[in-house]
Amino acid sequence: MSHDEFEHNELAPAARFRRLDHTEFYAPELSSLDSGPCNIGDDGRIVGRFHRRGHMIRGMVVCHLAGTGIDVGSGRLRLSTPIDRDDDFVAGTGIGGGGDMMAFGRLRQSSSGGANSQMITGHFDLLSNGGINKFWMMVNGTNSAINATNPFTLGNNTRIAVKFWYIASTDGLVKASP
Amino acid sequence: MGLEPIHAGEKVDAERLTILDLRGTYNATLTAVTTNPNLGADGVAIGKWHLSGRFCSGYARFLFSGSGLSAGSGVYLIDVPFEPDLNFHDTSTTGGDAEPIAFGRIRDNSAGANSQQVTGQLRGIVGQEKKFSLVQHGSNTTITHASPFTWAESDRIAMAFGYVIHPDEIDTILAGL
Repeated sequence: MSHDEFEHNELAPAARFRRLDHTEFYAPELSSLDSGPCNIGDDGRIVGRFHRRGHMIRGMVVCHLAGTGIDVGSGRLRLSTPIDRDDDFVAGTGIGGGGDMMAFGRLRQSSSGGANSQMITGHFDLLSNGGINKFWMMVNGTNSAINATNPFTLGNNTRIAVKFWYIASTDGLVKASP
Repeated sequence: MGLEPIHAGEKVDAERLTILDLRGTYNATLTAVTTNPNLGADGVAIGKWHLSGRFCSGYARFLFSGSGLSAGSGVYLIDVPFEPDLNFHDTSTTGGDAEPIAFGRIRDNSAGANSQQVTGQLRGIVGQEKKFSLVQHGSNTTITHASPFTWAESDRIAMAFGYVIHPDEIDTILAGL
């Protein structure tokens, strides 16, 4: 039923208990499916934090596009997670929408009175698209993903703020803290 | 019993530590108050959970597809894997009247304009103790067989939930380890 179960009379190292309650910052990446890593601008900011409770990862990302040089490429936008997901437990998906919903948040349009600001959901991308640790975001009232021009032209002072939660793979956990 | 605090020097059973990071699958079901929907011959219903002590997180998702598909009748309900602690959680059958224990998205595959984020709230009534209904975006209406759209081929529901389970459930889970 689970992995890494404790055994009777096991002499468990302290590290296994630390992994049951651990918080950390990480450096998320905003990327587009077709163009790779994005440029969030010379005044841009992207911050990630997460809490680990064993295999359960709960975290948040705030991404603020600002300044000159903003380039969010083409194709759907993705944010990275700190540790690889367990792809047997959390299903990824392409635009067809068949995977698990693992993030919830808000997209802010700073121009036009925020008319296009909205709630968004996040879904891990397909493994073939690097989705082991990247999720894309769905536009409300559509079956389409956020990209450079959807639901508005992303630019200066656009913000994305999401919370996410998913089960990490054991290999991913070991890779993150050997 | 629930989970009492661990005291200094106490000899702790392995199960009490294992239950802090435990996961599995469950038979997620989509039902309706009057007549249950039929997801169709190619339909999908998948439920997964993670337990951290008494806090249960998980996913439930559904796909309508194939022959025999029918939307059923009435308010749609989704079940969670373990009985919730209804002394802890608000419950209500009125949309938006209780705290959400689930967030997610419904997809109208034929008309994207109807696709939207939804929240889930526990019903808290007899016979529906483990079930939550879905509340629409921009409305106080719960999701039904015909609202905000009539469910049909390739329509989907994807929810993530998090809630505190009833203390008696811990004994059942520990017994199964």
